[in-house]
Amino acid sequence: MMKNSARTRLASAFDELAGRPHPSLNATVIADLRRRSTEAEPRFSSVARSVALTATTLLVIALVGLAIWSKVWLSIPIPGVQNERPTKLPETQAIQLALKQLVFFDPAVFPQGPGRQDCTIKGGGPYPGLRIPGSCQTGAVVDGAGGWLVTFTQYWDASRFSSGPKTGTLSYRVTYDVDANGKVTQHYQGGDFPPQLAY
Amino acid sequence: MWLAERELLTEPEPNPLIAARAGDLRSFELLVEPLLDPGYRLAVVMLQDRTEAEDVLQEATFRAWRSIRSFRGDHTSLKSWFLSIVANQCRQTRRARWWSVVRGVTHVRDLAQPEDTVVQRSDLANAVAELGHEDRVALHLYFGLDIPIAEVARVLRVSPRGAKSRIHRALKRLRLDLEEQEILQ
Repeated sequence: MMKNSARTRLASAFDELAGRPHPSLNATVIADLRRRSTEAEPRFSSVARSVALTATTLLVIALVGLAIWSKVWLSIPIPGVQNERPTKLPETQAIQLALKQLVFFDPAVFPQGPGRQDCTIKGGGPYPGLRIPGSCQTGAVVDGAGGWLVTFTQYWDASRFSSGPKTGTLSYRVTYDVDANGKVTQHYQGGDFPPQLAY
Repeated sequence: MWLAERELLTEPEPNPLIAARAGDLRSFELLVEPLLDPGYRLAVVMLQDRTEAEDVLQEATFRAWRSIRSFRGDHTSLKSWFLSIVANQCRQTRRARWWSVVRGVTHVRDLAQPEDTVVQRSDLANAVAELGHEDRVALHLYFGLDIPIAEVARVLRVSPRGAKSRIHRALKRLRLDLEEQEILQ
């Protein structure tokens, strides 16, 4: 245990280090306190802090609410309004899925992506069957539910095959609906009388 | 019976702490005035600059006034509470010093203090001045301002055990440094 003399000496050492404050220090500090306390009341400060805190809290709640509302609301499809959000399913993948379902047409003659190319339409009739030069088109448009509407269309000249007038260009098309999950359902099939149905 | 009647007739003495909490500046002044001297001493020991210590004391006193409403202690803990505010203010000032160094501003020391002050000090005072900042402050609070360990810990923002070990370490260093002079026998 320290002896009292050492304790006293330590206290004296600190007195030496700190020195004596300026004689008017207390008065200066108190005067400064009085001046500043009239400028800014502590009550005002706490009220202002409370108001600022409340306003910030409300703002944060409003922003979070808005974010949740928009997230929920925008995910609901609105009838009659085109949903402009891009589908999760890529266009080429939707076309590939639709091509696999193609039975009426020969899938090999259609472009693998959106586009149009010359092709030979294989028709019915006596062996080896009709061979009609024409063009084959693949198209895809985004539907309202985030899927794709894929259309395969074949075009041929009426002078080559027609059940009616022999002028102009005739066409026949098949449309598939490919939803965002990749499920394919036939949507439409029809057009001019096609070479495939010739006998 | 007579005593009870006297007690009933005598008006209770006003409690300056309650009055200060209620926003009475005069009462606060009464409470804080005796604490200004120890506050100043602590600031000088922490900052080693008398001018800065005076500024810190002013700022700390104003902050104490602003936060007296939230003070939940009694008269016995008022001193350590006020010294905690002074110590916090000193820490802020020390951080600002570092920032001023980073920004290239030269820190100007107190010119009122003569350069040969160190020579005039006792050997023990010089040895204390050579101690690390934290050790010096711990010693000052305990021996210089005669504050109990628990309150020292509060000012230093450490556990009582930590404060005790800090003081012990500082004493040990002093004992090593001053062995020849036999200051601490």
